[in-house]
Amino acid sequence: MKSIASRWLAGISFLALLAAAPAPLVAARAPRTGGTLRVEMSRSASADPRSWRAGTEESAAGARLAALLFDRLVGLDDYGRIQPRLAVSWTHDPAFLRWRFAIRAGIKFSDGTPLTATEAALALRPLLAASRQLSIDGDALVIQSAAPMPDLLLELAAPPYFVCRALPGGALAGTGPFLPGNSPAAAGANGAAANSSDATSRLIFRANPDAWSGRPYVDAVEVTFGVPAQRQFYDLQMGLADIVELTPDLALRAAQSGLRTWTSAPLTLYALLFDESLPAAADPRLREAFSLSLDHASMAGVLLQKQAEPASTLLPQWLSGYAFLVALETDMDRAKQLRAALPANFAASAAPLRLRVDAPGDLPRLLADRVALNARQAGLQVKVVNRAGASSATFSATPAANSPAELRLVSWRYSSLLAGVELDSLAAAFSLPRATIAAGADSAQLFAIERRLLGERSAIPLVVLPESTGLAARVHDWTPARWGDWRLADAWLDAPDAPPTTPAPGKPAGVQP
Amino acid sequence: MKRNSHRPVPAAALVLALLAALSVFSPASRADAIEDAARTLAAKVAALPRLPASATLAWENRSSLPEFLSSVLRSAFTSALAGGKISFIENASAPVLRVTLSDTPAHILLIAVLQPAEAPAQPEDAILLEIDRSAIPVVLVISSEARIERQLLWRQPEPLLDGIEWAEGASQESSLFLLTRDSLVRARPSKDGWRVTGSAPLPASLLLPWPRAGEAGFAAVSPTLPPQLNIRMNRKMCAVTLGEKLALNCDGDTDGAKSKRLIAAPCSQRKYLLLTGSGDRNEKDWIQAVKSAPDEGTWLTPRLEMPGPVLALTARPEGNSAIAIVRNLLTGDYEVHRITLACGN
Repeated sequence: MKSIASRWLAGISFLALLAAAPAPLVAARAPRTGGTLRVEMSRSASADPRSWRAGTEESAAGARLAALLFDRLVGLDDYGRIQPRLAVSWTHDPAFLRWRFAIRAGIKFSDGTPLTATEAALALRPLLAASRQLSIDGDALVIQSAAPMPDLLLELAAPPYFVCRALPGGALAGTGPFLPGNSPAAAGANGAAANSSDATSRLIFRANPDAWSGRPYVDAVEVTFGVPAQRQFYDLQMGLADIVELTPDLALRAAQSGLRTWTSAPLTLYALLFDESLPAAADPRLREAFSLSLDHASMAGVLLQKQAEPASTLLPQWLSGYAFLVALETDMDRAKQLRAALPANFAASAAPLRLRVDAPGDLPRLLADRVALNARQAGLQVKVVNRAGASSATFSATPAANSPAELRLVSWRYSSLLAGVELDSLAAAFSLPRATIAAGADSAQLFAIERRLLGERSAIPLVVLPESTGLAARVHDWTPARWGDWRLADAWLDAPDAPPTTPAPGKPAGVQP
Repeated sequence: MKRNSHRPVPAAALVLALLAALSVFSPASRADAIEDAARTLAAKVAALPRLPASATLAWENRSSLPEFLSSVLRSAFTSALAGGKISFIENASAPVLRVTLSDTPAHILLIAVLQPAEAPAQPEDAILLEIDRSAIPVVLVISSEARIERQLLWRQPEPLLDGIEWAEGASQESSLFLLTRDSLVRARPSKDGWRVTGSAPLPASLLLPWPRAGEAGFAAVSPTLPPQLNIRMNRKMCAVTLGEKLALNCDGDTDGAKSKRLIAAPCSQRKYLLLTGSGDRNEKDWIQAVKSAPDEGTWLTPRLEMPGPVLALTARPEGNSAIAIVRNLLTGDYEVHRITLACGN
């Protein structure tokens, strides 16, 4: 068959033919150095990747702090290309069992210690699975495994694989674009600990003039933790904050108010988990009836005002690539038929199914109420109960820690860039069967695994929610990754007395024809 | 005191990097990798049990691949199947072979699903094939020189089919022309925003109950001077007579041409071609611009997310902007956005 190379080149030529006459060149506006970027976050976080728990919002917030202070061996650009970071090059054997990373020379941690392959190994050892063996080969770091690791680069490009150096006293030193500043919660003279558990603490990160990746444009990043959502919204409106987190309702308000916002790919899954050790939840007919009664579309479209997407799979489309193949199933008639075939005492008024809200925040409670409403329409009685200590913003993977419930509403924050790794972590946390077989699988195998998991209906995905961020007009070069990395080192600010260069938001001019 | 790395690098540096990369990875070798993937998918499709002799091919690009690369893949796929066990036809009652390009952070996915006639697709029979992103031609360079900007000019609840900005008369005053299902509307800028200054009903012979994408719009500006504003609808072409009153002359048949979506960036000597996403009317769409030259490779701007599907995208004749018609999925309104390219920050 004739090669399409010629057609490819013809396509290029065709586009070239479309190019038109020259236009005058104008100078682009140069970025400005200086200023303090003010960030507000709703929860406290730790920058120590060893303390993160997969699937939690805390680990995601911690990763944002860690990105200020630390660096990874490799990074991923917006177009899926691996980029060198602390590793300048890498090689692997044909079977992907052994990878060798050449470490960038001449880099020092913030405490002055040179970065070496040994330091990188010490940092990564607690983060990598025990099956991964680390060793030093000259100036290079070697990672080996008995199982092939074809996607190791992508794995290392995601949280939590930051390279940091543990200092006496528990602080951490990094090679990132910022240094911990003088703030009460920044522990350690040279360290980078942001381990504050204080709900309203504030940390300052100073620009690192010696950062290997270049000095950031801003002089400092000031992060305030524990700011309520409404307060963040108000601070953004009043010019008291530059970057704030927006809840779905406030994201909608911000958009309607003409405020500058950014929305990530869907990053948080809300799902139902059945506790099959309890009789009613163990019945597959009940789980199927329950699943068919759920109206995902109205949860995303009405309840969450289109700020979320209905979820038919455990992994989102941007991560798996195949989620669109799985249709949402809502069939109330079939749900009622299944209910009628169940024992009368199952999910009856006298003994309703208990749905415990384990996910933090107000939104899960709303979702739980909607789930209960849908289930009632199919004849399944549900009682929504809050988890003990529900104010704690953590994911509970252990049902035993609370009163028994046939159902739990949980959340999961995606953090990996590898679908298989994410599915394994999620399945393990949700105690789903066959939790350790997804890593290393290709897309076709992953699709089969996920279809099997979904078919058992032990977990029912509800919606996936993106993260929304509000931005002040004076912030420039806001170039986050769609999977949530903020990349604040690239941002710069208008001069304090300069008018914002972004047009003031407002309703568009125009009349109705 | 400047960032010395991972900053947007000057265009000249990117071009040098591109040329260096090209010396290692030729476009042909990259294209061969794509060709291989398309051929492999074709072979897997040909091996499907219960493969019909003919089917309608529904090709959808949900990935970040530019449309012209999707076309390259499609062409390779259909070529590989030509003369084989299945032929592709346009028949509403035929089985449908759906091929979708999707993506993950690591891969481009080619997914094929056969949907039998009058039956739902069986996703368990889906064929999934991964293309490593490193196989995507290196000549695709993400441009840091230009970015797309949009400005909301107008919104209304009633459907809009297309829009165009047009300089009228000796004064070359700019007007906004909007095409609805039954009329042509002209608006001009005023201190209070846009103001309607005229409209003309469309003749009954033009009307369609629900025009589909591409069936109605402002047509190619004919190569006459001054340029002529035309409306293309229901396989007919109408010339718009401008003046205080708008008039339509609908004698001609359509030649099928649509204005090229080319607009200029202030910092570029070549114009960019505007691309949109899948065209799914229930999903948010995006606009991206690409420019290409044999000696510089292909340059893409970052995508600009739109609040809903882009229903029409028409460049003004001068090529300095385009008008996008978007149905806002949040509000349900039809919105008119002016699309321009800006440089720097």
